Amino acid sequence: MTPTPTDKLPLMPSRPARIERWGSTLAAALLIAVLVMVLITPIVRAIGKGFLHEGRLSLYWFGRIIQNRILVSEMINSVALACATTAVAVLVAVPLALIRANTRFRGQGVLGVLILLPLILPPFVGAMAMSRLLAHYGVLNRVLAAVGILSNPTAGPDWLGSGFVGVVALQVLHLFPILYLNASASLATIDPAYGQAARNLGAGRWRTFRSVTLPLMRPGLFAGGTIVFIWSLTDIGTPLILGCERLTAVTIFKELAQDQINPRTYSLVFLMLTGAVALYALGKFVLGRSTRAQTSKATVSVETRRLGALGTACAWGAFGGVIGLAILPHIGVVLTAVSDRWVNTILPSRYALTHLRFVLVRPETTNCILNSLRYAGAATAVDVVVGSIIAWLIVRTRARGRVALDAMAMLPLAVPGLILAAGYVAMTAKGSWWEGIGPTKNPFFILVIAYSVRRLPFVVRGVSAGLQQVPIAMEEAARNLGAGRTTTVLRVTIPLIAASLIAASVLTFSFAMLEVSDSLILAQTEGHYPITKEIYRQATSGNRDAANTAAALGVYGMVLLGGSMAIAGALLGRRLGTIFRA
Amino acid sequence: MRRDREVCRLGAGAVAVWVALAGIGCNRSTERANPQAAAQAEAIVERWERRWDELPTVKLVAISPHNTNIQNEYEWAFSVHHALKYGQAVDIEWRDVGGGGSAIMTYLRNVYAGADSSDIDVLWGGGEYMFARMAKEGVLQPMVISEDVERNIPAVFGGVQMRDPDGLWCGSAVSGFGFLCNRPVLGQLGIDTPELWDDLADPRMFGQVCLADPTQSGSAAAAYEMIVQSAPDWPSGWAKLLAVLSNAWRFEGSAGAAAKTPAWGAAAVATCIDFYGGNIAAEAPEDLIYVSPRGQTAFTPDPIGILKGAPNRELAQRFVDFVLSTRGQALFGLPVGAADGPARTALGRQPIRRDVYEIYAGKLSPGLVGPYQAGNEMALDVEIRGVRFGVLKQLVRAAAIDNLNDMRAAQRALIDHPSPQRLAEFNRLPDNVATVEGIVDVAGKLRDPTEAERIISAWQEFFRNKYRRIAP
Repeated sequence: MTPTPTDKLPLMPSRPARIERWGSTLAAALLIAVLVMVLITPIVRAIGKGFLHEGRLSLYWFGRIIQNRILVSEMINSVALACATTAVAVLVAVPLALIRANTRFRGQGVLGVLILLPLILPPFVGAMAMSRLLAHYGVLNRVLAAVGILSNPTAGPDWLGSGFVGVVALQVLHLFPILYLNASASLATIDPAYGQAARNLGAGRWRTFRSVTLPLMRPGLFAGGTIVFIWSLTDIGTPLILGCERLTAVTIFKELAQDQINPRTYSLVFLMLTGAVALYALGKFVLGRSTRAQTSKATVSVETRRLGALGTACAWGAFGGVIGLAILPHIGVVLTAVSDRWVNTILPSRYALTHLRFVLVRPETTNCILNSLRYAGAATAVDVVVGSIIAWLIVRTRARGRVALDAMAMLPLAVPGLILAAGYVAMTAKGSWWEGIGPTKNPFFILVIAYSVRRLPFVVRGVSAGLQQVPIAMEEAARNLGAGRTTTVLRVTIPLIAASLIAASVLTFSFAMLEVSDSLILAQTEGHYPITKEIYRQATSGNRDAANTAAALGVYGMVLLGGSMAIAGALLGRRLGTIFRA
Repeated sequence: MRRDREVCRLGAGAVAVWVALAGIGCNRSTERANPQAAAQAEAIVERWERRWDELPTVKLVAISPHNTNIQNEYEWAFSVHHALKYGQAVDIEWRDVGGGGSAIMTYLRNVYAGADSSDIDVLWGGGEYMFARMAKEGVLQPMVISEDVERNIPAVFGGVQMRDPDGLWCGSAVSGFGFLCNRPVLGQLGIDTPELWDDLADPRMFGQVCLADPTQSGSAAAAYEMIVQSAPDWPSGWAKLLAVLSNAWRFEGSAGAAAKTPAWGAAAVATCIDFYGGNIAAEAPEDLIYVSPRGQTAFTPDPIGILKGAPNRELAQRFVDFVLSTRGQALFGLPVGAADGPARTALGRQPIRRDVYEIYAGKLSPGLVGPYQAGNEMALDVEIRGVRFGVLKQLVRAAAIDNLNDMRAAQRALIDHPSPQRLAEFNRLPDNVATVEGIVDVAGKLRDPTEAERIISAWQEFFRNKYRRIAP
């Protein structure tokens, strides 16, 4: 169900309304055409073989999947995992967002920034750090032995074998900022007058939250929730760390790593894609319907409670607890970067700055960092523009094809990066039209396209949520007062959805900077490597100090990404505070 | 307001750190310590009356899973060699398609499916199985292999082909397989350091061995074949391999990833390639040890070849000649600082040329296992290996990786309540691969995707049901 302001549209559209509808339909058609070109075509190129059997179009491979007990049980596991991770992430993120939105306490600013740390954890090395921490004879069990809980380090449990529960815990620690940012943006867009009215009418805090705040923030929760859900459904990194491998995404990943890929794998990819979109549609039908906002946040100023000593301690406890757990891999990465010997000890037994220095003196490092900034910056710009237009078409218009556009804009979340990248390699092969932007020439365009496509859902969902919460009456008033469509968008709509837009941009930029699979395949020459590929190359080099060098690059990456986000925050300055009411 | 200032301060701090780091990076980027550089630069000026950076530069494109140290050392040494001999410097562009041998093979297949050239000249590294496949698929073109090279690189060694009879590829280094052990952890568990593959099958090793998935790692697949061939026949070889597999803590995606686990404390023992093991053990030699199972490891080549449609065919041949020359081979095995040795990092790999072990006797890096030294190698039955290679890796996957939890439960039950009948049931093979003849037949069928999927799915069911009968 796409939320539309149907009650605002006359039954027999007037001529200008008809023209507008045609205009938006045309825009939707254009965007669908673009998405067909950059999303559907590469997927079809990559997984088309899943529909062929003995040279003919066939559903044979789908039948084989359904008959395979292991594959079916993996699908069930995957959905259960995604449900559990999303539910726990909501339970972690929403209270934190509420505390941040409704209270004032010492150190709130710092904690508000630190809570986003999971967004800057570099790939591979973050996983290595967690493996070292949770290993059977690793850091955690050595700590437990040192404090006397275990008789010796080998007596402890194998935390890396903790399976399903472990995967949920690690995924939540990694993904809750997506929900936290979306929930914060959503809370910032809710008119405080509703809450105040409820309180004045005698409702308690809990009832006000349950009956007023929660329903009003539903679009934001839906936006964050769907991203976390599909991410968790298709995640491979965390399950591989914890050896929880009976999941569809992991099986697909492993099948794609074979030297000869069975066509059944492509059918499995198709099933995962359609399953993810179907679950998204179901979620949207059940949870994502518009709250049909009628007022904006501008009517009254927000009232926040200044916390006393106890309240501050509790708030610090809540934020500190989550941050403390979420920051462990970052600490591991930093320690690995500065360690020279770290075997069978809690902390490194010998330190060295040689890895950090080696990474710094290499011109390749500066180069790959600049590349990452270029690719991720351009992709974020593309996504903000294209994603916002798509969101506007979905929420604010009755354009034909908007449902298809909505579904297509969510699809990239579920597409394995390897599949999309393989599709791009096929599309840009020697002799094809697209050869000039292929990975063997200058991969800038193809990488920006890949990053933009993969991260598009962040903007579409974030901005859609913002638009759903902002009443159309504001825009109608501006139009009635003579403002043109562009002026209305620039002066009314964008300022009203600024919180959602910024949250979406931060997520897009940071996840584009950390994009792995496209980078591995599409950036093939050293001069074009982004930092993630350089980290991967160092980590898998087989050199003696491979892990240390990769971690040193990871530290550099964290500084870069954290720095970029802090700079963005500083540049936006007070406006950011006002937008997020922080 | 205060919060805004905090954010501003954080931002300013981050900018300062970033600028400082970037600044250091830029300032030092021109420093490139290389003790041999001055002498070689002088020789170039003497020969061509021009400085190295004034010579014209030609470009070679190579694709290789080799690590950056190998790439850097060979790029530097070849460029100097080429400048001296031909008056041209060489710039090697290393293509990286995000993975090891399998990723490269998939990439090249995709590219050559629609074109006659990949714009890449040289394919270097990735195992002889991969090169044999690539040669069969017509991706490689014949090279000129000199008589000197043919004299010093045996066509077959220990049953393993070291170079292609038609000159489509030639080994450039050799690797053996063994295991990396965390000695203090083994000590705490009361287990002796294993010395042979048989020791990894010991029930006390249950849950302590990190292995690699043979369908993703060619070196793991080769190692499993060695375990099978270290037993007298196929059924007993499979039983021995299954005993090792069922002691698995986990199967990692690559042999390199598996090799790191003992250092992190994730597993007490991991199987790995010799130079990975040696490199990782170097971090803490008193705790970590690489063991080469004496007489139970075959040495396999790491080949080089020229790709079809290579844009710089002549330069590619010169690079191959250099890698296979005694000077090129010495780079693999000499320590830093030795004449003809690497400039910055010891590569710690075994050269493939026999004569290199004589010419540089006593100078090669310590710890290198001489493959041609008597008693070190095992003789593989290369014919059976060739047929079984594809079958064995899928069989291991179905038996151990796809059914890891069930297999471990069955093994646990066997350890707790030993029973010859249940052990026989545990070791029983699917009927279609119970004999070598059966394997030959299945190997042919596995080439067809429909048949392959049917056979592997049936194996998965077979093993799952069997394990559940042993440990209900």
